[in-house]
Amino acid sequence: MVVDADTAPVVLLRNAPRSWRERGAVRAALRGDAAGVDWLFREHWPAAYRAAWLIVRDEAAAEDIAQEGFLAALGALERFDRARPFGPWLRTIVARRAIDAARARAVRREVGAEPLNALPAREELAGLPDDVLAAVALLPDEQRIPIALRHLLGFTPGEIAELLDLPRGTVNSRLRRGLDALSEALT
Amino acid sequence: MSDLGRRLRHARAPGEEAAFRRAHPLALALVRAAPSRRRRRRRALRMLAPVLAALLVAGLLLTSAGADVRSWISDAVTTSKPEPVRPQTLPGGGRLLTAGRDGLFVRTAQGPHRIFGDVGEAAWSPRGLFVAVTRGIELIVVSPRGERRWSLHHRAPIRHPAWAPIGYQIAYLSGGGVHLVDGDGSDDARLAAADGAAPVWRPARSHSQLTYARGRTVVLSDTIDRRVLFATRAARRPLALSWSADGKRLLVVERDRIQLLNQFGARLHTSHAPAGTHNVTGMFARTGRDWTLVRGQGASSRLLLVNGQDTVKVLELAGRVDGVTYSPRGDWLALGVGRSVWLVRPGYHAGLRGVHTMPAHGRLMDWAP
Repeated sequence: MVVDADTAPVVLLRNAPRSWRERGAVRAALRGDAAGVDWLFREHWPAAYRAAWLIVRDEAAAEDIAQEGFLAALGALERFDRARPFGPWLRTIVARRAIDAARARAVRREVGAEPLNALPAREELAGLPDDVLAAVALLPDEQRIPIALRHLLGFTPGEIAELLDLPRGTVNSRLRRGLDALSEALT
Repeated sequence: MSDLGRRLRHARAPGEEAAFRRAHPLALALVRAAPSRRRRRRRALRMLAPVLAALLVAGLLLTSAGADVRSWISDAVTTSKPEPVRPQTLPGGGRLLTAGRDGLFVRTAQGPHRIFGDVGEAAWSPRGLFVAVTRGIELIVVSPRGERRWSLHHRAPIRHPAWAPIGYQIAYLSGGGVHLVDGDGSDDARLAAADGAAPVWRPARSHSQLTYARGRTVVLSDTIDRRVLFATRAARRPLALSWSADGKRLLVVERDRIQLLNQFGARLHTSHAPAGTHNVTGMFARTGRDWTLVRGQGASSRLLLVNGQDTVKVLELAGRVDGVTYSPRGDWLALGVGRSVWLVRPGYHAGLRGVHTMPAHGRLMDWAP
């Protein structure tokens, strides 16, 4: 189904602030209006997928995580506090799922002798069309995940520390080291 | 927002566009499937009287299959309710085989009929002329009308009978080994040590090759000269094996990952189950290279249809799937869910209009022309 963004209700107030449009979209989604879901999806799903991919670096897993996260958020929309923005709420759901998936995979990697063929090779990552995305994807887990959470999903270092169950100082130093490695890779 | 943040927000991750195209209709279908609170209230008032009456009737009429369906509808990402199959139809045609303590049942367009007594497992011969069934330590071959043709027995239980594509031999597991017996019951012999997953024949009429699991190793053997053609190690014991119709891809389903091997046993693709889920079973379609994977998550299951490298998630259902088989033409997929059989059309988009359900009379086994 294609929703015409020029004719749909509330969400279409093009000149309205984004936060108004988002609230309108949430209200519309709660009424069962597909235009509201469409707006929320187009606005937030791509970043959710991208963040999930940066965390797990596996297309199938990232799709599952972003899709399940979005559907879980929609399913719980009636419990959602509409005074708050939808994006951070969805991003938190997706981030938690992606971190869980990355942790599960890390555990398997430690105990399994088999190579993880599903993960892209370094050469494949280096060949990504976007050099910044490729550079971030090549960072080790301990730097890449905080960078994705901070700079793509917009979490504060304190929130990242909570999500990753790490001291805030550790998160700050990993972010710093990650940014240093990125600037080196991109210059 | 930092410059890095802006760059990342405008970059496209690998697979993003294809994933968007798949996920977007699902999200819209979800909102269409789940009525809003206000609409539900209005509808509840309007419908109260007829619903009460309907509940009385439904209490009398609904089967356990119907109960399974209703529990799924509340969580579905589909736009229409699965329809119970009328007694005199079988979408997909052919003859569906189910087996259990109530007996061996063949369901056709004329409805189900019991052809044999209590059995463990059952498999059609390639053209549907015979059925191989297991009953404890016995392997029995019966006609579609239930006439016993021959039988053999071992000291250990017999499991997973599988007819060769040319119908010449039956493979089965017993006593830690894979055995072969000719279609007429002669020349019963052990081929090799094997356990776990059901053995599967490589689909080709020009050769006779059998795949089976030995511990964590997947083995392809030539059943004529008994040569091992490949032995590929998996991370865990395989749960299910399935060849593509052209015999060039082998799907190996393990609890936490799936692998695609080529005809030489080399890994082409590996994919891990997301955290909190586990693979249950999987199989290739009867034609082409589409395949199906069933994943479990707690008490619910998820059916994934895979077209090449693209996964199309089609349905989530309350209940555990214990069997999957394609219709003879490959246009329908049967799922054994508790005491029901679900009939799904894989060719449909994610909305899954036209899903049917019916009582299973035991566990789902096989589907023949």
